[in-house]
Amino acid sequence: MDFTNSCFIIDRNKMHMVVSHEELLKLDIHAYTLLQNFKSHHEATVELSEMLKYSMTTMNKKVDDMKKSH
Amino acid sequence: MNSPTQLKAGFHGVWPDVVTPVKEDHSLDLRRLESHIRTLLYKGASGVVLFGECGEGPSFSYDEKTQALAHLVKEGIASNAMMLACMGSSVPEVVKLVHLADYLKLNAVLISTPFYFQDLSDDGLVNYFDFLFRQIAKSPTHCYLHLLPGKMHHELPDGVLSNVVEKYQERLYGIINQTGSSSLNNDLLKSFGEKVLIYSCAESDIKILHSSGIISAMANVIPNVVQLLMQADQGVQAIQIPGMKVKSSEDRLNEFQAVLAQHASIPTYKYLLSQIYKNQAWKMARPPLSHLDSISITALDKAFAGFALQANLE
Repeated sequence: MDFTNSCFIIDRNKMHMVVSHEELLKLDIHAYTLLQNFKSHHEATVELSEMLKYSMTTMNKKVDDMKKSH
Repeated sequence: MNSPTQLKAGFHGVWPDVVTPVKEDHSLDLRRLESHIRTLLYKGASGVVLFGECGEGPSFSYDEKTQALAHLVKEGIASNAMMLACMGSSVPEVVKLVHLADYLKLNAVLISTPFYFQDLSDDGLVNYFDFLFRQIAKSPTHCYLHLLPGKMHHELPDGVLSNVVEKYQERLYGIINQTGSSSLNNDLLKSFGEKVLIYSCAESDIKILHSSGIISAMANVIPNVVQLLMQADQGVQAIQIPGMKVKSSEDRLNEFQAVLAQHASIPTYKYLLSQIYKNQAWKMARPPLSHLDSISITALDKAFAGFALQANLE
């Protein structure tokens, strides 16, 4: 399959970001963690925003749990 | 080992038995399914099996399978990089799935033994396959006989298996053993190895079978480890992970098996993907399966942290 026009979500220095295939190839393989591959930049950004939404929900829940336990 | 001269050319490489992501309302999550498949193919998988054992095949309707496959083809996933597991007891339903695979020009279909709620006679099973193969005689799609665990499907007695292989050798490309029984591989090789290709879905059997391909559930999470294990015979070296003692692919596989131990396999794969893809939506399973309970999650988190997955390399 041709991945030339793909976009990727990667974790780099604990930051999630969307990069093109061209940008990905320029990175040192040990400098990031590949999370997922998407057909387009739009698809990747939709997923990234969902990831952020879920991580905020999880964090809020943790904070609520901590409040309850104190 | 299969003798390649007399056999059809079967599939090669690692084919993950892909898990099927669902949304909170339990409907199919097509976007996530597509991206999971793209990610696996990017990491070197040769193709994927859809709606198999790990893909909760029996939980999805014909319409949903059609919708998913049509979406994947439309979005550019190569048809020949997909196999469709055709599970069921209704011959017309299975035939419809095979015709769907024909229409979409998929790589292959996996025909499983029927589900049933009482013992079936040998004659009944032979008639089932006669009824089925008569209707797909003209199908151009490669066809594999898919043996699944006894708890899910009817085991095929030796006599029935011999009958089906003898009669439909022209249609069959191989037998795929997903029963979890390693000893069955030897029996299959001995009895049918000269007629059809024999594949196992147990990653630990790769070395025994010297297969050219595998359908692997673990490859959802560690596709490269499974691939390196397959290439070990060709002298391909283990993964070099900075800061980690070099381990063979076999060691990593065993470590991963230890992570999976004692947890329900499909919810476990989904949970691990939620961790790898950093998105809790991956945890959802379609009823009658449920996602993991908090005790299992705590144990799994601990074991998976110890495993220290290197997502780019493994």
